[in-house]
Amino acid sequence: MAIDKPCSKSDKKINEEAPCILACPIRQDARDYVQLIARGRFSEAYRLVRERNPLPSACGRICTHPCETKCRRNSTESPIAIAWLKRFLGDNFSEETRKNFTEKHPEKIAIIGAGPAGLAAANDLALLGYSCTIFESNPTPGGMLRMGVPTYRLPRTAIDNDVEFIKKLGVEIKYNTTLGTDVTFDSLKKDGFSAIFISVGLLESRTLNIEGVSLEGALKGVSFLHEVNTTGNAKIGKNVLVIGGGAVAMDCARTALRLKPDKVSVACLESRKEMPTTDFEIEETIHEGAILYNSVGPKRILGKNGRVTGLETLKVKYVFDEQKRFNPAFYEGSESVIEADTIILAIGQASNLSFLKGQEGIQVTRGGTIIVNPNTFSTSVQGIYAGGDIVLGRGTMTEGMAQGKKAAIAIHNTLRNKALQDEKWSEKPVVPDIVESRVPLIKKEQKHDMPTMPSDKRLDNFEEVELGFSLNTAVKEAQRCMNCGAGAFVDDNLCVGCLTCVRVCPFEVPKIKKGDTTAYIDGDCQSCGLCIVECPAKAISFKTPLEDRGKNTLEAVFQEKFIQDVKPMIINFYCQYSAYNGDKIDTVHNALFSNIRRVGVLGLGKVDPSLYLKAFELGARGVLVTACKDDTCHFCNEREWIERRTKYTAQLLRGLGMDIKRFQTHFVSSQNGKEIIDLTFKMVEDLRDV
Amino acid sequence: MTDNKSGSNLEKLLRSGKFAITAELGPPRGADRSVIEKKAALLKGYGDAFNLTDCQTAVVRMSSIAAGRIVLDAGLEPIIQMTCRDRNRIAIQSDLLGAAALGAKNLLCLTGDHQKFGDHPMAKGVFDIDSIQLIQMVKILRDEKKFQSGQELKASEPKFFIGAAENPFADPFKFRAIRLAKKITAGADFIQTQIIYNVPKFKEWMKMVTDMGLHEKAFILAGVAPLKSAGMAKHMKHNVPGMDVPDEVMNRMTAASAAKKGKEEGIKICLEVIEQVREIKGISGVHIMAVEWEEAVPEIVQQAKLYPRPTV
Amino acid sequence: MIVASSKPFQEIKQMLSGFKKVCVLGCGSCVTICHTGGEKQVTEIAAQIRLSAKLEGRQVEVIEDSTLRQCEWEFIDDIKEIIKDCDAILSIACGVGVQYMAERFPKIRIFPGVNTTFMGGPTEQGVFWERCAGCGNCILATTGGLCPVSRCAKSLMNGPCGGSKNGKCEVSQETPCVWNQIYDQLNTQQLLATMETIVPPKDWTTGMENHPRKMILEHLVMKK
Repeated sequence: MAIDKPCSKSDKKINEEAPCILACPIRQDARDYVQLIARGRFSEAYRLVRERNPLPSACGRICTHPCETKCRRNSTESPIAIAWLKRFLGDNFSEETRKNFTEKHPEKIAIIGAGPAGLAAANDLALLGYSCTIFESNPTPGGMLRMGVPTYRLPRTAIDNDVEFIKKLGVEIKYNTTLGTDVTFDSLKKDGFSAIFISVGLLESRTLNIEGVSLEGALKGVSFLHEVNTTGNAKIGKNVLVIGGGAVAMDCARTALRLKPDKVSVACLESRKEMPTTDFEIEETIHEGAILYNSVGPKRILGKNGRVTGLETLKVKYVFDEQKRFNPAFYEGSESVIEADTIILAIGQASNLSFLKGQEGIQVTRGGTIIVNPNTFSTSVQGIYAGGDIVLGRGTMTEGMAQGKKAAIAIHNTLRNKALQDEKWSEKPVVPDIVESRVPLIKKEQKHDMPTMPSDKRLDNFEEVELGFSLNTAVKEAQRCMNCGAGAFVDDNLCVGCLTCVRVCPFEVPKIKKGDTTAYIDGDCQSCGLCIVECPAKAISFKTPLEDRGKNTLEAVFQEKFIQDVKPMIINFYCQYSAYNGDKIDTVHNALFSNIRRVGVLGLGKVDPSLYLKAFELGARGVLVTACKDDTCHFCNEREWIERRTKYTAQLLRGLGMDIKRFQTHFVSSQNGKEIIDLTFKMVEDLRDV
Repeated sequence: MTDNKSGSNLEKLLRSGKFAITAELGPPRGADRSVIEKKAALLKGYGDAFNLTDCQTAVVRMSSIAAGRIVLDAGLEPIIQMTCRDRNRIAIQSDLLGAAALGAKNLLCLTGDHQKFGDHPMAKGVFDIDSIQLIQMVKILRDEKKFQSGQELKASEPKFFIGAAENPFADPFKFRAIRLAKKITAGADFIQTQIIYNVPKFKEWMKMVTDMGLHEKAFILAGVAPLKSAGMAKHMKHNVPGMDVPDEVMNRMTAASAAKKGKEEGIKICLEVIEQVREIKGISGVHIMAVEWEEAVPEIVQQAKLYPRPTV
Repeated sequence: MIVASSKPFQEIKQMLSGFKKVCVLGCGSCVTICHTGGEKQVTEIAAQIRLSAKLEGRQVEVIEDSTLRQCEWEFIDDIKEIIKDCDAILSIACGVGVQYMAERFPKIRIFPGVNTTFMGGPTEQGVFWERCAGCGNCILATTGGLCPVSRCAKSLMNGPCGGSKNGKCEVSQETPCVWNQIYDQLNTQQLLATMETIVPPKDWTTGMENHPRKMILEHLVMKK
């Protein structure tokens, strides 16, 4: 009766994918790791992240999170803090994964540059069975992560932590080794490398072609950051002006602030809305004391005695022209001066192609990027591949990682003459926005704030400002996730069109459209599971494999060694939505270990009454159901369903001649407090009398 | 009016324009004929014809036809009651032939209370035909000498003065007069109404009836019944189908029962109702239903100044 | 559709006592829609049988299965293999399905797990009312689309009787008097005159009186 692949007719789309997954450049299973956190399955969540993402600690901190921009919870209140949840996993649950490889291949692959693209390529190639060696010109790994991202945003330990796990796969990193000087394409070939992947990134700062750019005090952004990141200091004056509106400009400003000049300001072409970085970053920069000048363009750098004294600016008319190209225009005669004794250029990065001397065969663009075949990632020279910023010209960390991952498969296919596909890149329709009329039906739960270092302490140091989620906060944040694209679906072969699901859904999602004979559940499904339990034909299931509705957890309890020694054995079915409010979840678990085993489900509405019967069948002496009260219910009114179902179950049990004290239902405010402990002890007492 | 159809005393009286009295005699829940004989002795002379109920409220009692014969032997004129609940059309026609052969001349046709009210709620309710179809069937037997199947009778036909019941207090109220018309069209010669306590509502119904001229096509006897106690009043109000007991009556009986004067008050109320309905246009008589209290009938008839009964 | 209600578990337990390998068999048609014979109910009843056995220290093996319809030979033949070693089958299909099973598998004891009650439908989730008695001679054209055979306690043709009060049947305060409803309906459609006509006694030969009834469509019967 059960089938392993969802099937449906005609226009019923059931392979719509969550927008967070499709927005991610590396197609991370964002929704699924969030769902695992929501259920307290942290190690599984970390392993899931790691399956696709080799740099979770770094991503969790500095990714631009396009997933959050597309998160469907933007329609209800605010997106899920997907990136911060990834950091939570990387910081607390990292472990070595994947000990067994499918098969080992003889080829050695050289990767130039231990930045995001190179690390991702090495990670995936190692998993495919290749020996990889990364050649890194710096003494430490990370590339732009280490050079350009300040430590108050990305501690070095986070980078190193991620890289450690990549090395555990067998990847070797040779530091202080530069291509073109320490090794060359020829030397690598002679050493037996079958393929070379160039992922050197864009290490130069772009410079402005204006008067005064070589005055003393005019600094290159990336060099400035690198210097501070490595030495903890840099030579700046008292009045710093950063030119640029992106993440690097913000990094420069906030880094400069920590060096305690009198003033730090930022001037950029873009209006506040147009700035190409996250609101959070901009707000933190202003919060820390930088002054922001929007919509001004640099005309010339003013100087006196060979030193910078200020920047002459023009008012911006527009940044992007009608064809949406970057083509800024200015108002004539709108000159004005911003005073500064230090100017930091953070207007983008450029490549340094000096290593190509001696290997002219590699074609490059006029802008200084390497040309590659978009499918094979091969350059114009056989056996040499490239990817990352050096190919893209500009990109985010995750876009670089995506390049590395795609290149790894491409290299593998070329070497093995195969056509392996990563199906995660395939085109899928996206779950559409929530229908407006449903938004009021969904409980509003605001995004949890990231605890940060108090502002008065920040500028004294370069310690990490964002402190990370606590366990309870992480779970509660993850529990806001609506499980888009992985909710309930109807098996057309089993559905009898009885309309039960249509009538019971609190969000009015299932429909039997005119002309159809079976029900259809669309992407607005909130995964409450009520219809799954109510369906008389058992035709509805969850698309997600992560939800067992309590079944596996219950069975696992009885696999426990010495479980028969727990007397009287009480199974407590509880709702995970109110289990992370106050105390640590372990507290109750440990306090009652001699009598109780807990089966937590993300929403008790998913539990079928026959599972309560099963608990008794497997050997429970008592079953205690603790559900949430109406005011705290995540799905707004499941209480009446729990009441109805437990009353029905009690009736069935009575009909079997069972003492009804053995099955109790209570509604509690918290699954972890005194209430639960009291209820359990009372039940233990009751059971002694039975 | 028209010619005598059955030759019964009741019919003659009514057709001569006299105010008629009928009363109820409940057959026993046993096979003892002496019970009926005793009741007959009590009632003799105080009414013009006497209804023998047919398993009233679906409780098993001696059959109406058998009891009717016993009553005839005692010198009283019976009105046989026939419900549709317990017999199909074959049994009904057979019983009617037998009743006529035994001397019955008056017949009240009823649907019958649902079996759930009686002492055998598990019994199958037959309801092969309803009361209107029964009336029609009896009329065709009498006037056309044909069975319901259309075949002709071989021997003499039963000649019944056909009666029907009507409940002025049932719903839909507006339809009740039309339903009465339907019964009369089907062949009803006389009507006995459900027990009246709510006289104003009864007047409303009679207005509809007389507006349709139905009082000129059939004789209407108003149903009355003396209450014994507040308990009986309550029982009638809640447990007996089709009854309308106004709060005023309930209150009077409650007060009287408390003062141990239930029966007196009950008779008093009954007499008040009789007095009022006598004045209503279209009423040709009263039907006294003194359930298991046949002794009350002589008192009521006397106090209503309707004794002795006229002869024709 | 056919509506059936669950038998009390004690009765089921009694029927199945002594049998060691039992199959609980559901039906994907009417009884699924009225939530008494679908796969979900199969699971529930099987769970009760197992738990009851466990509580009393008995052994019983319970198999759970379901057919698309139990009133089709082909569909019940499909489960032949599954049930062949069973010594009892609790069918929670309607009485029709139970009989098909009994006829097809005469060697196995077949027990009915539901009480088949009436032909009707849901008026709201969880509430089912009788609508049709299968009299075989439909008169709905004259009664405004409301059936007095199935909805009048006395199946009157010239109703209502004297027990109709406040729109309710004398049998129960919860039961609407259908003749009252017919009156209102015909009134709305300005067809009240219909109710003044005397409806003659019904021809019951097409109804229950002539068990077992059958219908043959000659143009569908295939000669062997």
